This record gives sequence, structure tokens and C-alpha cells, in this order.
Amino acid sequence: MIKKILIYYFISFLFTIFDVLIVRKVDLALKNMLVLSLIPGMLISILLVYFIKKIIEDIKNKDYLVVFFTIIIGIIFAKYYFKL
Amino acid sequence: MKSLSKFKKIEIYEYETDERTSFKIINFDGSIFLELDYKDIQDISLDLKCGTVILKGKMLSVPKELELSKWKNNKNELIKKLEIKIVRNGFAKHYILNAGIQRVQEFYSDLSYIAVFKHDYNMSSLYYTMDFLSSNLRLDYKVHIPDIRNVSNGTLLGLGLSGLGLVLSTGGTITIPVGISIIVGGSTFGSVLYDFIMEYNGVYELKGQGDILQKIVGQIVSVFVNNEEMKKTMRQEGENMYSRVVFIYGLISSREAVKRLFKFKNFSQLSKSYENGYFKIKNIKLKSSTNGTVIQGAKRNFESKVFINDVANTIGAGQSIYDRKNFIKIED
Repeated sequence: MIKKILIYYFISFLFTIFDVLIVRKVDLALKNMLVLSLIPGMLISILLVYFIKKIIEDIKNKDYLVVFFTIIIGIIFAKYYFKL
Repeated sequence: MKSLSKFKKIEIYEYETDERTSFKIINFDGSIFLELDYKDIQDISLDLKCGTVILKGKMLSVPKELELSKWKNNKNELIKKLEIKIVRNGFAKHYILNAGIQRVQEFYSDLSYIAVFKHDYNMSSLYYTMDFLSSNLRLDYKVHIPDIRNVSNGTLLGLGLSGLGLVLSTGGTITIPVGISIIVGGSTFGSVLYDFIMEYNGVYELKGQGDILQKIVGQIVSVFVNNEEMKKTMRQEGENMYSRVVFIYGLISSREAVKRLFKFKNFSQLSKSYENGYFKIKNIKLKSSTNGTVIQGAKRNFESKVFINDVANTIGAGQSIYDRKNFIKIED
């Protein structure tokens, strides 16, 4: 259980670093990024892992159409969402 | 001088002038609350958040009107409109944003924000305005996640309320997507309720608060720092991280929606699948028949009201979280 939490926290931390330092380019101290990865970040990593697992499951089941359209919707959603 | 606007409430004029570029915030009595020269503003941007227009910018020089003590006195002051004039190559464009009931809502002591307006247009008109302004003024603006959720507010509210009812009445375990729906739906419902109460308490008491849960997340993460400037940054970052959560939730929902849509060859098959139930709830054991009625009632509510709304919204916003293989099992 603790191992699982630590893995999620690590993923969350990597996501936070990517989001804060690379995407948003905000200068934040390591301590603050650890806080961010804990509170909203853990939820992100749980959802992200769940999503990736499901996509892998779809690929294994040869549901390529589902994967393809999920990615397409994801791209459209992201474009609209983040104004890319 | 002719009006170029397609909308009644938005006036756009073009004319030649030697006037300097400026931003004006005008009170209802016609007096000017604030006038800013464009050259005094750095990194100007427009932010659209749940029907609220936020003009952000960093001031190079601080006008007297923006001094904190004066701002405190003017906190509840109502303004009639925002005028934006921009001069490029000697040619001026003049934009007037009449937002009806507007209220300068937030000013910060460090003056990084200029003004916040509650906007009473419908969303499509507002998007058009923002697009128009941003393309012509070359300002950046971003659309915040709560606006996306407006597309599926009905679904989310239904999910949030029914989900909340289910949790309260059963205490059962729920899967992640339903859990998120409950949180997001509950939060959206809170925001709507808040806006509704504020709106109907008094005409001039509008408060566009956006997503309450997002604000709460922002507040929680800001507790961990002492510095005032850092608090604000952390609050903003917390809010952004929350947006990412909802985004990934949207991806999961999109997959569920696509999977469901591809499984069925025609609409009646798809429709039938919805009759089987909506929630993926594990190991629910009900002891009293009252609780069973609550669940059945909630389920019927879904079938009759949310279905059409949901099919329409799911494709665009990916809000379907259903799984036909796992329906509610009620044990007496």
C-alpha cells in the first residue's frame, strides 16, 4: 500500500515538475512543488494511471478504434481546453 | 464613426484619431472610475472564467485610483462599461464592453490585476467578444475549465446530486469516475447555488465565483507558504492543477463514451444499454427497503432526465462514465 502511494506521489511529482517548470514556466521552490504534487497532484496521478491502464487494456483487446477516437477527442478537448 | 458590432450590447467603433491608447472603466453616473494608458500596462491579458471577464496586467506606474486605500473604499462600486481604445499606426479602434451590471471585484495590493467583471452575456456572445478583442488587440486570453463544464452542467449536476444521494444512503464504495463526478458535480452545484443566491438577493450583489472546489484547492495549497506573493502564486498553481484533474477526468470519460458508442450498431441498442443502469458500484448491500427506494428513484431519474442531455453532451465533452456490465445490484 505504502509502495503504491509512493509510486503515485512520484508520478504526481514528475507531472507537477513538467506542468509548473516546463509548461507554465513558474519559478517555484521544491518544497512548494512537493505540496502541489500531494494535494491536487495525487488525484492527477491516480486518474492518469487509471487512464493509461485502460488505454493499454484497449490496445491488448485490439479496440484500436476506441484508442484512436479517444486520442482524437483528447486532442480536440485539449485544444479547446488549453487554447493550444 | 460607425458601429461594427454584430451584438446589441457590444459597441465597436473605428475612426482615425491622434488619441493615445487607453483603458477606461466608467461608472454608471458617467464619471470615469479608472483610466489607464496602454503604455503603462505590461503583459496585458484577458481571462474568461465562468462568465467573468478578468483583465490582467502589470502596471509600470501606479495611478492614484489604484492605491490600495482608495480601492478599499471603491470595492463595491458599480461600473457601467469598459472602454478599450487602441491606436496602431495612427489608426484607432475603440471597443466598448457594456456588461450591464458590472462590478470591479478584485484588486490586489501589488496591482498585478486590473479589474474583474461579472459578465451577463450568454456564453457564445462572450466567446465572440473575447475572440474579437484578443485578435484585434493581440491580447492573450484563455478559456478556463469551468466554461467547458458549462456544456455539460446538466449532466454533472445530475451525477453530482444523485451520486451524493447514493453515497449518503448506502455508504457504498464507488469507482473513480463516479467519485470524480460527485466531486465535480457537487462543486459545480455549489457554485451555481452560490451564484443563484447572490444574484437573487439583490441585483447589484452579483458575484461570479467560478468553481468553488477549484478555489478551495487553491486556498488549501496556499496555506503551506507564508509569503504573501508566494501564496498568490501557489493559489493560482493549485487552481491550475485542479483544472488538469478535471481534464484527465474528461479523457477518461471520453474513452468510456467512445467505447460505449462503438459497441452498438444502432441507436436503439445504445438506448437499451442505458436502461441497464449507470453506476459501477461494487458490493452494495442494502438493509432497509427505504434505501432501495432511494436508489431506484435516483436510477429512474437518470433514465428519464439525463439520457438525452447526456448523449448530446457526451460526444463533445466526454462526460459519460457509464459501464453497461456493472449495474446497481440491490439486495433486500
